[in-house]
Amino acid sequence: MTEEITFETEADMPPLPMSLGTTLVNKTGSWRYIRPLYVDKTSPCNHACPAGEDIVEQIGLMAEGRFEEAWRRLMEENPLPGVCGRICPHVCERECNRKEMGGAIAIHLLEQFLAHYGASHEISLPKPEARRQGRVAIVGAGACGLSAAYFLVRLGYRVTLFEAQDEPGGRMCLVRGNRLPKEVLKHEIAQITALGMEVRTGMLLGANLALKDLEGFDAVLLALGHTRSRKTAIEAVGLTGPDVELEFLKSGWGLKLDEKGLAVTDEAACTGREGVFAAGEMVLGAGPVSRAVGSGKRTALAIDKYLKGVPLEGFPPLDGNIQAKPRKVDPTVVHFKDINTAYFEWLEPPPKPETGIFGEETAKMEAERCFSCGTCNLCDTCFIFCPDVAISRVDHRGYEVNYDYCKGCGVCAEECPRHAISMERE
Amino acid sequence: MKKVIMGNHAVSYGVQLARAQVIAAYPITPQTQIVEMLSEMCADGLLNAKFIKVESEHSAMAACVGASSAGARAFTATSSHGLALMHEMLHWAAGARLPIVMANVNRALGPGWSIWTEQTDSLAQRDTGWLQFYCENNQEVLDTVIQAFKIAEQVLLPVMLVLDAFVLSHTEEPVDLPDQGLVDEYLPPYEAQYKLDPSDPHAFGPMVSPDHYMEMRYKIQKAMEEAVEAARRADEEFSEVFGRNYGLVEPYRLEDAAVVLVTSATITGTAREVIDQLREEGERVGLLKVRMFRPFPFRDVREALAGAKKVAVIDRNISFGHGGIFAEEIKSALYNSPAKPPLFGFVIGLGGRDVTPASIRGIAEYTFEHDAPETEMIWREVKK
Repeated sequence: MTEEITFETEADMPPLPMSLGTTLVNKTGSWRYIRPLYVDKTSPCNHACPAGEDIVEQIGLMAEGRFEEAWRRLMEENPLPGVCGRICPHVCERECNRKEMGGAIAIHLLEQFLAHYGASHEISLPKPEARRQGRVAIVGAGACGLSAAYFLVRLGYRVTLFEAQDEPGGRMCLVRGNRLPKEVLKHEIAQITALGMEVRTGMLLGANLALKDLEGFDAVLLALGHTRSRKTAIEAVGLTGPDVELEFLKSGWGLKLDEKGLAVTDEAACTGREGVFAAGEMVLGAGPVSRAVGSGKRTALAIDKYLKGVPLEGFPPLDGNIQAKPRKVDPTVVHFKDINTAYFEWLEPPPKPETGIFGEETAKMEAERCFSCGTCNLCDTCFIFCPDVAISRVDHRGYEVNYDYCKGCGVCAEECPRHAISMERE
Repeated sequence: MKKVIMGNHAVSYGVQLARAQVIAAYPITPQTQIVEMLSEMCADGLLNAKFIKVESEHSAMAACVGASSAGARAFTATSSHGLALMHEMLHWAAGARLPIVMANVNRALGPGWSIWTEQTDSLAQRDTGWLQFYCENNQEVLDTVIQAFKIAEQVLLPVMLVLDAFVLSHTEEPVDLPDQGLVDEYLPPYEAQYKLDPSDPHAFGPMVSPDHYMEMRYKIQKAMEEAVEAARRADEEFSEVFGRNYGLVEPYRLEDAAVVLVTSATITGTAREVIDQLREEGERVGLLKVRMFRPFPFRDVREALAGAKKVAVIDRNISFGHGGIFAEEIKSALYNSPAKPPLFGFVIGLGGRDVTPASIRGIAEYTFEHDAPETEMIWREVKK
């Protein structure tokens, strides 16, 4: 590529020690025995979220003021953000690394903000086409059933959603209006059902909904909820006595229950009976609404595989979460000790908003407080620090290491504020 | 415009007139007034320079190296231990061929801790590749600052101008501050031939193998040799523009001198008086002031001493294990000359001990009374 420059005499040489040609001829990459790799790792909030949201990515978009994109990313993983933002116990915030430097990010308030943003800007989701062969029956229109319905319709299936009560919503309807305003719940349920599905209310399994009625579907999801929910549903239609629905399923379909009375499934939500899946609190026991959402999502993804005839593999354990649109991420969870605190100041969260929802400026500021644990956010620190100028930016997408020159000094990995670079042996 | 100012401030005004662009400095007695005034000039908008406060003299020179590498006219000042601390960087400045100018106030090195004048600090750096000029009075100090930038930028070597602690640095004398316009004529802006420039990138100061290092050093020595005439021309041009100059050496009443005293810096001023007195008493005695010490002005020194029957060199410094440094250098300059008069090396005034007319008269009389020196060096006025 370059010729060697030779000097015959002193007069040929420059007056002072300096390079005349390009230093590119010296491929310092040959010195290397370890190399840097851009490896996004799991943020603790993502790890903890039972709904399987990509929280760090959403917040990253909000920090850039890209609220609509953040809302869309959120809706890709959780169709009930207005509900979850208000009544989920936000384990994400307990795990947030920012709590060590001023206070955890107010993730639940940011979620409420995004839900409100979507609603108030009337951003609509595209109506999916029913292009897949397969009709799915979902029994129970609580958070789990609604979530499963949402994901299945988006995947192109035809869904019939059966609900024992007069309205969908399940236990969410029982939350007091000051904690979960009725119009928020109504809007989010409508947002799901408006995608295009058959909703049949007043249908109680074992009463006016027979197993025979379900056998015509290509897959059935049982999302009957917790004992309390079922009791309420049963009483609502004027019946009493033991768990009518479950007894019905045990005797009719051989549904297995454990000693706690919870339905038994594998990681792909299969009950053991061909084409019959179970999810939500009837499997997992009482838990936060976000977990029901995540469970419904898992089951929708499992039913999708089932109906495509693809093996039901690769599902995480039932106590783990799942993404509909997974990012390539190393499962290592980032802890506070991995964060390079030299790049951050002690900053406290904003005061809780008077109206209950952050304004846009406050939401953006709060999002900017996020460390973006394990997730490259194009901060350019590695690019600036590389002593060999071996890191270049690839437009708005990320960085590239030129391994011809990278000496493996590791400064990039050490300085990366968010532990998004790993050093690996050659 | 004439002002009564201390030697340190004469440096400051010189640097201001020379339009230095970067000043990186660390304080030390007795130079601090130099950079203090410069910092005030910068703050008051009287000098358009970047003033960088650094954490040590080593960093001061390093910052000057960086600034000069980027094409800026750079200056710093120091003394004694500060100069010693920047020793490594002195080598760098010369090796990198950077025209940095520095004022060094000659101050004794400790322990014993001293703030008073002695020349050992600057002379101990004579191997670093820096030019060195020793100043006799405050006017010469100011003028030499301006000449220093001109010479440095021509030969691409750093230049040190030297003034005595307190005797000059803190002594006020009337000094003529030349007109800025005239200085601008004499000293145009610095245009670096090679500098850090993203549009024309080069790596500076890279590794140089045995295959090329010697040629780099050879170039420095050649530049030093060119610097003799460059300094002479700069001094002559200075006379044309400003009406005064100093020479590389200055002979004083040498015409028929049998005994020649050789001095530098402020001792020269005192010695002139003694020479005049001795002449009045009929002694054939003269004085040679050595102003430029590096590059060593071999030709000027040999010519000036050609007729001398005895030479008495007065050193306000000492190289332990050898002798006074001006004496060493002059002895070696005369070694291959046909005329090799006996050379007496006197060591006096270390640690700021006063060198009086009586001291110098004593040295002259010793020289008259001895045919040749009895010891390698003669220490004067040591309490024994």
